[in-house]
Amino acid sequence: MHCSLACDLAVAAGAKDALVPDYPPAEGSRTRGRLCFRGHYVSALAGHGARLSSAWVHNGSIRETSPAEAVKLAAVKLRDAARANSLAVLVDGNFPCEETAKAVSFARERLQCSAVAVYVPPADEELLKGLGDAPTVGLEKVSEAATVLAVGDVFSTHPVLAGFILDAIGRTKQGKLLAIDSTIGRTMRFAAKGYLVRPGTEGALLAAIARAAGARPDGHGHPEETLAALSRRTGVDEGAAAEIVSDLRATPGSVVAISLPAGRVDSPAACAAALAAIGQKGVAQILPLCASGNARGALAVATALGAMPFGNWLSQLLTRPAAVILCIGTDLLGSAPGGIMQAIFGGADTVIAAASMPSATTARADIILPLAGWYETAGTLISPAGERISFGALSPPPGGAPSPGELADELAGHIEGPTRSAAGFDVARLDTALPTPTGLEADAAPVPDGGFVMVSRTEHYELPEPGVSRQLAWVRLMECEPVAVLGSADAEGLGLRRGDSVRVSGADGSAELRLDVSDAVPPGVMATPLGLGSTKDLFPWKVRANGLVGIGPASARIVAAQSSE
Amino acid sequence: MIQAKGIEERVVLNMDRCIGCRSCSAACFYGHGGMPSVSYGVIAEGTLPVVCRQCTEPPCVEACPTDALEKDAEGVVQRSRMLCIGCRSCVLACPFGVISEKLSAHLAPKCDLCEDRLRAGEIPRCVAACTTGALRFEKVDKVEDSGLLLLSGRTVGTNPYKRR
Repeated sequence: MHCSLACDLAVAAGAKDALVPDYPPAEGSRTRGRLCFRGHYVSALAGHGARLSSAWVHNGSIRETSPAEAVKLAAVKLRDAARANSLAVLVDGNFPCEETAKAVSFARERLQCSAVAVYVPPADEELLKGLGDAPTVGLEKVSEAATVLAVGDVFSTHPVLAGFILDAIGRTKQGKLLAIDSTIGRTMRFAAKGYLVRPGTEGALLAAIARAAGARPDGHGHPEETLAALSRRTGVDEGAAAEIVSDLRATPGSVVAISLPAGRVDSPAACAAALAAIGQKGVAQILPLCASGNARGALAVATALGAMPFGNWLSQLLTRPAAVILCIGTDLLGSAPGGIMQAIFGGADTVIAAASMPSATTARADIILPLAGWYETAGTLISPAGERISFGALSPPPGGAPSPGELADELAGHIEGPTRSAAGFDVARLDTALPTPTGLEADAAPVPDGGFVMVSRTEHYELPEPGVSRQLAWVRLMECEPVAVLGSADAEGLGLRRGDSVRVSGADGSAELRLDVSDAVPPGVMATPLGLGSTKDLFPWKVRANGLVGIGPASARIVAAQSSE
Repeated sequence: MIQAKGIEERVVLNMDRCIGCRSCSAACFYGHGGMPSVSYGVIAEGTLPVVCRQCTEPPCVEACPTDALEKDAEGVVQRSRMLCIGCRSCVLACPFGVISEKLSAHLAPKCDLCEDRLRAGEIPRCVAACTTGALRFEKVDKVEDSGLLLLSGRTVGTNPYKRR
């Protein structure tokens, strides 16, 4: 799903069979009739002219073929690779639980494949697993809160939530919004109190807040330190932690809403672990916000069916490449940095991609199978707070493309093997508690080394131009010239002006971006929307031993590519 | 209830609640076949939508050389796609900058208050889509009843200096 607020999506038939967004009712819909720009893009996605409705095979040259023929060919490749124990399967976690379960069980049980993982955005997995069994709440509790602490720019990542928060804090005279972030985003502009922290120190401040609340946050890598040392490191006042605890305790039912997309910069898992301690002390309830709408559901299904954590999947393929890789619904090549993907996909004899749109992964694939979009499948998703939400299909997929579960059934029909259990998979009995990985670690605040600390920033995009994005789940269809944002003093110091083309070089890659200038970005920091265009190569992936994948921290150098004149 | 003759409501923006998410723009875009009519004003770090005020004496109508723009019986300034030649005179004439310079299929996009939805008794798309309720469809002289100050034209708020 687009994001974890799980808005009610609907489309109406427009002119020339175009699908246009229809508005959910104000009463009775989960999000009270609100629908942000991301929800509108669903209609563009569903009706996009580039949707895949037929199959393609690359065998020297690329040729279109029937889905049935491609399925047969794919089944042979999968069977042979499974027998040779050289198969890896990755299932996109955006689909409803039932679909994910069918695809995973096909790989685990029919193919007897051990290298099976479910892909959710790494930051989502970090956040949810870091929270462990902390008390979490859903959207309706925000309406009852009077004080909300936003960690990260939640107004930008989840605009519909902004309405709920503004309603909640406006109900009482004591109500207020507090914000912690490393740049001045939409949320901080509305906050009664904003705490601008140095990138990479968000978790340290949260750990200090937990200690101020009387908790002993453990296992997240933030050592106890004096308030003076914390202040020097984070850049916020010494009294900030105690002040925040006091504000949260001032009104009942306070909520901490956390949205830390990848690259923001401290590990979301480490931040979440500190936050869990705050929640367990009863100071506030936690509303986790994810990029992917079914991150918790997908991770729960993966755990229940014995799929390995995504990080372990990457590690295994890096040390023991697979001859055949099957990607169901996920554009891994388009999401991950090029270096790590070259290592994984470079050694594969055959890549099979089931997809609804052309992507970097389908461009590499040897067999392309059409697939229904997640919005064209019905089923259950689990919100980050653990709520079970039923969704209907938005519209039929073009050309009758199968869902992941249906595709798994088609492939299984050509492969002999053990009976699969997912036909009887019961989402109602799915244990949505996620195992807490050991060895959670905070990421060290990046040292610029003459350059800038990079943070991802969700605020910059140009609407409403349509196009295709290689972004993560929260933005599916958007063409946007990627920008690098610097503060005015930094830009002037480099002799740069708004509109200049700049080359940004990080440890693992470089990109040419357009420069924007905004004093919402503090000195020494460069902000860029991660995932749009080529920016993904600027943020390195760290594959952790505990199965989590960390993105960032990163530092970068910036030089002019060419003047805007 | 939208009156059959003379639409009295206008799209009103509550500055205190606008987060600049541009969902209104997306709604307008997809509801008008790719021709959005929600423009933006930038105030310091804030971005606020601006929409057509459906002026009583619209300068855009005066400026149009082909009579593509006219004020209809319900008070909505409408643009005829067949007559519009994309000369952008309306863009220059509008004192509020709500007609976009960007042309789509050589036509200047123009807000029509989502007349298709008004006929069905529904509110304009930008208002329906607004994630925070910052955009409202109501009579301008009624906004003070809800404790808001009319700052200028269709922009309201509790205090012009309160935020940002």
